[in-house]
Amino acid sequence: MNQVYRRLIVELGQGGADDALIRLAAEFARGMGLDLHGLFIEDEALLHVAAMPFAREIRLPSHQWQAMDTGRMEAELHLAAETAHRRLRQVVAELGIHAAFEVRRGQPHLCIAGVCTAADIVVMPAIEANEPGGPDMLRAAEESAASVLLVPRHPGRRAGAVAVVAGPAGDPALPLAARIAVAAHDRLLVVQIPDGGGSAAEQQFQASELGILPDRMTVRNAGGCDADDVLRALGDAGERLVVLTRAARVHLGIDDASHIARARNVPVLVL
Amino acid sequence: MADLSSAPQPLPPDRLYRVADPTVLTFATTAELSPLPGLIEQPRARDAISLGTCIDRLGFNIFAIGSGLGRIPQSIRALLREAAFGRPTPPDWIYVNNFETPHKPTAISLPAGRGPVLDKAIHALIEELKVSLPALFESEDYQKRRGVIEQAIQGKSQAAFAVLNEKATKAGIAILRTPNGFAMAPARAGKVVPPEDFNAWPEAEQQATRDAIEILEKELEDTLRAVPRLEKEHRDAVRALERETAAFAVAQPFQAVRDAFADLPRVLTHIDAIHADLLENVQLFIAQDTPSDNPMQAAMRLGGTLERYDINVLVTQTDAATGAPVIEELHPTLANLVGRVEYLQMQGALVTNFRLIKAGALHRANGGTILLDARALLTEPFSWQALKRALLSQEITIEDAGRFMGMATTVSLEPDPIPLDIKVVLYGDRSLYYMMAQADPDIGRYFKVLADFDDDIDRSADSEAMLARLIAGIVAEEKLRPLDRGAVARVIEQAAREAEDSGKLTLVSEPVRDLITEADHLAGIADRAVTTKADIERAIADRIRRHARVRERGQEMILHDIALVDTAGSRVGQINGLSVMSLGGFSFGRPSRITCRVRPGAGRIVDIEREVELGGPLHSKGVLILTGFLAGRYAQNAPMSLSASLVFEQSYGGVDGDSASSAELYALLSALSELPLRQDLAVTGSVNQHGVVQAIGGANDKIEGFFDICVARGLSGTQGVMIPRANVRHLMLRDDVVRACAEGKFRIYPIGSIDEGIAVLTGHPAGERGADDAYPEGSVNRLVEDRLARFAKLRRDADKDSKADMT
Repeated sequence: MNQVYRRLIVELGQGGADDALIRLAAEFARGMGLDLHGLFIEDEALLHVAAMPFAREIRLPSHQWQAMDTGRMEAELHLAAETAHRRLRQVVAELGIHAAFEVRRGQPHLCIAGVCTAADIVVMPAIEANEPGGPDMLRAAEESAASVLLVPRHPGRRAGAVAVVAGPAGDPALPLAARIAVAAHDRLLVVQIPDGGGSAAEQQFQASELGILPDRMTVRNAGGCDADDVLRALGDAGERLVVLTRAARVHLGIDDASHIARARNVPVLVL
Repeated sequence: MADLSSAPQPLPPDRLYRVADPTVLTFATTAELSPLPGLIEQPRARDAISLGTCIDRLGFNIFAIGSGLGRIPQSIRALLREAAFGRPTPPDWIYVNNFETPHKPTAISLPAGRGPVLDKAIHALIEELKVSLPALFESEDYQKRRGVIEQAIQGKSQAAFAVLNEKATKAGIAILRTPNGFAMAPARAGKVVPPEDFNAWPEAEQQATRDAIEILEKELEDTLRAVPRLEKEHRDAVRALERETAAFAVAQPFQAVRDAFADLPRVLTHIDAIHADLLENVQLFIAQDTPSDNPMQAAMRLGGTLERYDINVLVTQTDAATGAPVIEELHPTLANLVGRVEYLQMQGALVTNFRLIKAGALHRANGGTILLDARALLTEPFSWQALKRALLSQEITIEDAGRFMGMATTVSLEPDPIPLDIKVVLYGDRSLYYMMAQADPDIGRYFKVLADFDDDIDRSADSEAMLARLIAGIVAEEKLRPLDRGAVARVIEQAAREAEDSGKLTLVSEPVRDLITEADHLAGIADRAVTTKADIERAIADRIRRHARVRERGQEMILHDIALVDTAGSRVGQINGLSVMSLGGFSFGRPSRITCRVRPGAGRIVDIEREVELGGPLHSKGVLILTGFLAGRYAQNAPMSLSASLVFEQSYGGVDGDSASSAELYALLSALSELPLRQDLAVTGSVNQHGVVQAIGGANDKIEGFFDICVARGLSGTQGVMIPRANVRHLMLRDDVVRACAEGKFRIYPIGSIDEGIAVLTGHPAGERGADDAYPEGSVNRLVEDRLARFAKLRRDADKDSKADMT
């Protein structure tokens, strides 16, 4: 079964999305023919904090403490949303595509869960779970019906093979990875994990059906199911994207996916 | 009966027009002649240019002057090229980025022709690195090493946050990211407690939470303060890795370029600068498409991220065999002269970089010669001063006119000045040079060599032969039909007419060129393969006709007796003078009636033209000379007791020049002697205080002007013109005038003195003083002297009566 995606949602408020992430998301959306959707979440917790009489924030980069109040927080959230919108507009204008932009207020993971559908890919920075805001975001991603594209801070490659951690037959990861590789004229690397799916021959047949020539496809066995096994299997692949199957999520959590993204310095698409 | 045997005789026809020497016209057409380009018989100017081009010292530049119509630059270009051929080919000049101070681009010279080679080599190098470096930075090895750095440094930061986060969680505190920083809040089950819930907490619990927050805030502050240091560590480590990685990859390609330019230390220095900058900014190769909001950064790209490494080949000598350049700048604006810095509009700002530096004529001519039209140079703001500054400092500094006038406030460049080694040749007409020499003492300082081009040469068989070759040169240059022998002869004769001297040939080639071109057109219409004398004649006639509207209107007025000019009979105190009008390069003669009235007075001759401010200073001078003549000749024993008035009748414009002074004197003598003057003659010539008639200009035009009126009224056979004897050599009269003279229908009298002229005009001899110191009875001078004596007596009587009345 082929998974059909319609939107690429890039979260612009919580993860501190920078221009590089927005650009990467926009290029990804253009490459896959998806509608780009900017989402800015105003975290309602911030308004709760600001309402407390003793609340204060340390402001960067001055490192000065300042008392918080609701009115100013409202204004700053509004300003941050406008800034994010402007940056998004600028990037898409340069690439010649269009993007929608939406502001939501609430708990971030609930907002994301409310917005995202199975036909969406949501872009998030590949942050550590223990970074401020990290658990919420990863939880949101995990709980989302959407697929997640985890992007490291400084993606290392703009070209190279598309790697996929294979799922069982019928899983959309392999067809999707193959389609991306064909469109980009790149190689396809299939990383097999135990219980991950069919045989190498079956996977090669499936890929060739999608236009991958035999000499443009490599199959590697991870030998295990955790993130380190996958990283070892990737080795010197020189990939520019890793696609993780939903089936692999049995063994590899969203934290592992984020870890792979940071370790390989490439985006990881978790279906 | 008066003795007029010594009176001047009319000139024979052969003195009225000098035909071309038939011995030099031995060819059928000019196609048989070897063309003569450039200079013809200009030894003075030729020597000056040779001197100027040979002396390689400050200030020995050349100012070439000549007639305004001369084709001086064309004439001397051949000489300059000849001189330039022997000089070494100057170096190429390039501008490159100054990586330390980008607003001061660096100028580098290279041997002729090697600028483009360097440009190509650097371009190829960068193109190669644009491919190899991104591939290198995407390699597994690099990514692994970078990943290690990222994880090591991020790990430190994350570990610190993890500890803090853990502490906070344990204390029931959440750390939140705000739009501008971080904040802490009470939390339960990982969620921030709403204010109303928190307020419902027991006071002790609230206080404990606040205390915990206070402690954690301090730790958060410390953790955050470490972040910039870690980020810097990260940046430094990544940059070091990039440098290390790139250094290996670029070493070989750079060495190849270095080897190619090993003989040029300044180029090697720049290649090293590129190398160092490239290692520092290797990110430019990795993120080649990343845009920038910063206009200055954008300016450094102007079409490509890596333009900073480009070479701006300002000047190159592609053909080293041609020697030094000879450049002519026809539009010497400041920018065209010293170069300019151009700008591009980017996001509302004007931006520029070293690649937008454009060469001026001084750059192109550097090491050679530049030709400049002095008038064009002076009419361009700032150009003259900029040229002098360049010559003084011996370097070319690009200057911005807008900045001088305070119109440009954009950040601009200060390119390195380029050493100047140039020979400047200014050209212009003489009056301009004299004016500049008077107004600007720097002329003598910077233009020590004057090349004064003659306007004409002596006419001889040799010079006529040379002119024939010059005509052949014009024919070849303009791709015209060849001229046959008769046509060449006619052009030579016209060249003498242009020179206003039958013994000279004009060197102002422009009218000759125009004449041949127009005749060629007529020959083409007549479907002739060769331009003939008839075509030349027709071209001359057509040109006169095109310009002759004003002349014809003036003649009509005379013929209709609106402007009164008699061509028959005789009148006392009235004479036909001749003047020349020049309008738009066309000149023609025009007769005017001059009259004189006399009466006793205080010895003053009133020049009515001057009294009403219609007479110019030269005309007034001529009239004042008459007083001197009269006083010297007739008032030896008594004061002049004459009052006379002279006027150009029906003259409503200005009158200047002294060419009518002899005519005025004749009118005055006629008025005094009461002898009538012939009206069938017209007179031209100036006179001095001794009564000698002197040469004037425009003799041909003046004669033809009176001739045309006489022809229109019918030639009587007695009509003619009196000209100064000194002007006889200038006569190159129209064919119809010469023919009329040959047939005895018109006469040209050469006059040497007033005595000769008055005899012709009155039919009475002037007379010379005898032994008794008196003029002969019946002579003009006797009559004049007697009249003046009568005036003196009347004056004395009147003075006596006046004194008697007073007593």
